Amino acid sequence: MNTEAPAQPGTRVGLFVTCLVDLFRPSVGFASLKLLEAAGYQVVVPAAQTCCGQPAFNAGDRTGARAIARQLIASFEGYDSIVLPSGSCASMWKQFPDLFSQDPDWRRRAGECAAKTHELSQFLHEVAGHRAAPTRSCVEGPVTYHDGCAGYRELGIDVQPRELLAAAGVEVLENTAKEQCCGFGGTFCNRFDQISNRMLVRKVDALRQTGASVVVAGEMGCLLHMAGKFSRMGVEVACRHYAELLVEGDGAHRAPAVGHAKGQT
Amino acid sequence: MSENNRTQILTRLRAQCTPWTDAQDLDPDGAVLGPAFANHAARLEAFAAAVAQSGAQLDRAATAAEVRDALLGTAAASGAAEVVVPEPQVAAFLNTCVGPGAVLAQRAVRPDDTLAVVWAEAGIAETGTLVVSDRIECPAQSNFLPAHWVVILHALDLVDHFEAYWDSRARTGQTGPRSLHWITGPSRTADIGMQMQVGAHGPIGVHVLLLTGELGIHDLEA
Amino acid sequence: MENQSHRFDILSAEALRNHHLNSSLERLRGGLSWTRAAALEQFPQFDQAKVRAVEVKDHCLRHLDHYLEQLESAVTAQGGQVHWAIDAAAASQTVVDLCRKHSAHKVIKSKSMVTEEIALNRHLEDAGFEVTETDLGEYIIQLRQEPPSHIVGPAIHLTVDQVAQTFAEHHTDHPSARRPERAAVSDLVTEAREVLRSRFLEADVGITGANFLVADSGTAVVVTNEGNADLCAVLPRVQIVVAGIDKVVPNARETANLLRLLTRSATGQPCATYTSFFSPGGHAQSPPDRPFHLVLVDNGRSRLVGSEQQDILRCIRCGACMNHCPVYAEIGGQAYGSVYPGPMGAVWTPALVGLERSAVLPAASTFCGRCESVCPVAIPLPRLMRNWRAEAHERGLDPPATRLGLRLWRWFAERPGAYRGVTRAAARGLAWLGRRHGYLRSLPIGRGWLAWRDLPSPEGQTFMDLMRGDERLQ
Repeated sequence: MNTEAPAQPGTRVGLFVTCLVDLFRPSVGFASLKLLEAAGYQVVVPAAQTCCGQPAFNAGDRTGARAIARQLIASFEGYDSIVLPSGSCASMWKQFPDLFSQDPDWRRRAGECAAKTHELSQFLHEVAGHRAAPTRSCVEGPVTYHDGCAGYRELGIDVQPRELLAAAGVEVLENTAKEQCCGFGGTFCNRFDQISNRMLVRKVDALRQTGASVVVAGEMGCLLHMAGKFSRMGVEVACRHYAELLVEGDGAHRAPAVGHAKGQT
Repeated sequence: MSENNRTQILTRLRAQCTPWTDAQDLDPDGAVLGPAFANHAARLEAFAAAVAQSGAQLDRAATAAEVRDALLGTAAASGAAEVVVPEPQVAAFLNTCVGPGAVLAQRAVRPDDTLAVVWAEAGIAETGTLVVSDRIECPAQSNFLPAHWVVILHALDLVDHFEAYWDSRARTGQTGPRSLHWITGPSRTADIGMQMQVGAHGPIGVHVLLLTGELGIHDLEA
Repeated sequence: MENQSHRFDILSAEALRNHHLNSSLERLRGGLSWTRAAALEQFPQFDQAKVRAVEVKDHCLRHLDHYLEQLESAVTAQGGQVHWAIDAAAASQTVVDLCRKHSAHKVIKSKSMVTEEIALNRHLEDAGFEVTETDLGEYIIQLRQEPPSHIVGPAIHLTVDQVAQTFAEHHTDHPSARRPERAAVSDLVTEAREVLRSRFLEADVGITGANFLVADSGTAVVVTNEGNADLCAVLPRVQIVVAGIDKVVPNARETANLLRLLTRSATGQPCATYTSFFSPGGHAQSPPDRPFHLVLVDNGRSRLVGSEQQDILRCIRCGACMNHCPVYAEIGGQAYGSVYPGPMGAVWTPALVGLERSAVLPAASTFCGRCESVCPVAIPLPRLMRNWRAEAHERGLDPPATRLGLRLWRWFAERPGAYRGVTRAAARGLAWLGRRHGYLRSLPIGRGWLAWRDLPSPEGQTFMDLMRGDERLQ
């Protein structure tokens, strides 16, 4: 593993794992830690983190979103970079300044945080500059990559995870549904469940057509959504966060795919 | 009612709008222009290509004989027993090209006419667009009622793009006609089953007769 | 049409069950986004054009008062008349009054979303006028007494067979009345052309909308592919243009850039078949004057100027947002219960009919952002929908369950200690329940989710718990 010091010694990264990773998939949090440290960064996990506030923000509860944002800004503003294994949550952080249009001081602080917030693959690819090329991926065989909408359209995440996967020796088969939302959309999938399901069916059909047995994404919400559909359909496709594939895997210690029991792939 | 409504609307707007001080907040030269062509030949070829893309036909004619052949060919292909020409000057021009005993009828276009010939005041190379305006002897409906619309355009009346057309109008200083029509290809619709069909309400066929030589109708161009 | 947006849940469920609609939408999906993409490949200056379009439209909105007055002067100076209408009722009444004043009986119309918005046909018919829509799609839905399903193709939701059946029921005098079972599209188009041609010739008043209003020349710009708007405008003895106040642009030259964006974004064409410029006056060679009336409709627009929703006034009604919307692609346009469906409709509708009747529309989006990415005038549609959600939340218009959920969630999210406790319990509990398969099929909450998908179980311990004692946790 690469232990070369970062270009700017003492560069400290605050890792925000996101609420879904914390609750559903700690493996992604640990993979993120490992990748950042392998790239030579000093990683800290601020203990005050819960959720980025996006549920409130998108539901129109600006007061709630503001309260969460203040708490996060205060606990993360001391770090040189803020990194998240989610494009959607990173995009939320980037919108924090909008919450404080009436409050110049908080707006400035939110702006400073937003400027140094990065989605994990963007950080590894653009900031860390590939310094920690991982050895061999824990996944055999080709995968297909699902572009989470917020990361893709709001942050421009596209080649970064693909190139990181390629560097780890993972073959990515492109699917025809790159532009198609999976229908998750936070509370949308529950409130407008029939519409969401149609979108989801369209998405998973396109993913299956690639023939890949693994679907990779950088968004825990989409992964849970798609994995839940595959399992309801009885289709053997594994869903994983790309970070899991970038850390060296010896098979024995890695978690089963999202929605799979221990002992399954 | 209208006056009261006017006051309410403008009062609301004035409360929010920026005071007008000769609008220095928009660069008048900041327009993103259409494609410019290096010379007349390039413009002409671009126009011809765009006309073809629009689904219209184009014949080039440098001599009276070529005009005759193109016109009679189009009339025959469209099954027109009569070639209706609403404007006297255009009819006179065509008569000299086609010769006596031909199928020309100088009269107003009727709703069930198969083919009519009009004169375009300009062509836009960017999109293969023909520009016609409402005139006393060639009212706007002349361009919409016939099943086949033959439009004569002089190659020297081609402009590069949309903006160039407006610039050329501005140079002449003329006020607008009652209606000005940019026509690009045959009338079409995809409203039934998303299948493209030509001839929805306007002409099914658009035939451009591009005069590339000395021929012209000088009375109209004045 | 009467707004039905509050019935979105019912209408969208019906739409999902409608097989005709599904097969029509199957054609729409991909089709229009593909034609747009192909057109943009031939138009490398798209991004620059977009920036200019935003500059011009924003400039017009900043000076909307000025440009409307300039437009009015230009129209009246050429002998036309301008009528101002603060709301839908005033706008319809104005048109009805004009038709009466000119002793009209028969009215023909080209497709105009603003006239749908003000329910003009119903008002004209109630006042005794015979109204015929002449855009083919609009004519079809008029025969079927349906609302439009798309702002560019109002009958895009219907199959060929449905249209054939509608024509067979209504065109009983037409020679094609005994046509074979399956009519070809070309026959149907010809049939409509023949039926409508006589309507054009008989009409007293022709009504069109406008894609743009040119302030300095008093000109209405109308874009169509069929040519119906032109016949509406030039054949009858009276011409009426109905347009929203947001349509004004400074001069004809500035329409060029907007036209390039409009047609490519709407149908993938570099230029529509007919782009027509109608002014009240005319030069020396124009035929004698016919009355020209311009009805300027506000109906909620002026309230958007200077508000956080102002950007929607840039909209040029190309329909690209709905052509690329994954929600529209599943349910079609009529499920929105509004004249304006899809993402742009989810922003327009609350401004026109009130948020209390339409709060569900801006809620029915995943914020995937595809609409914003294809919008030729860079309207931040997800942001504007979110703004409506914020207003709905402030006014208590969002569902009680959502409000309760948000309050609970926020209480915990602001208290990391308590949050750890709940997430620990949830992670363990769900992992235990799903221990055999790795997923859960039933739970007391999340019925919508579980109706169609399983819930993958958590790994068992939260990340934060696993980090306890780790020096990196600070």
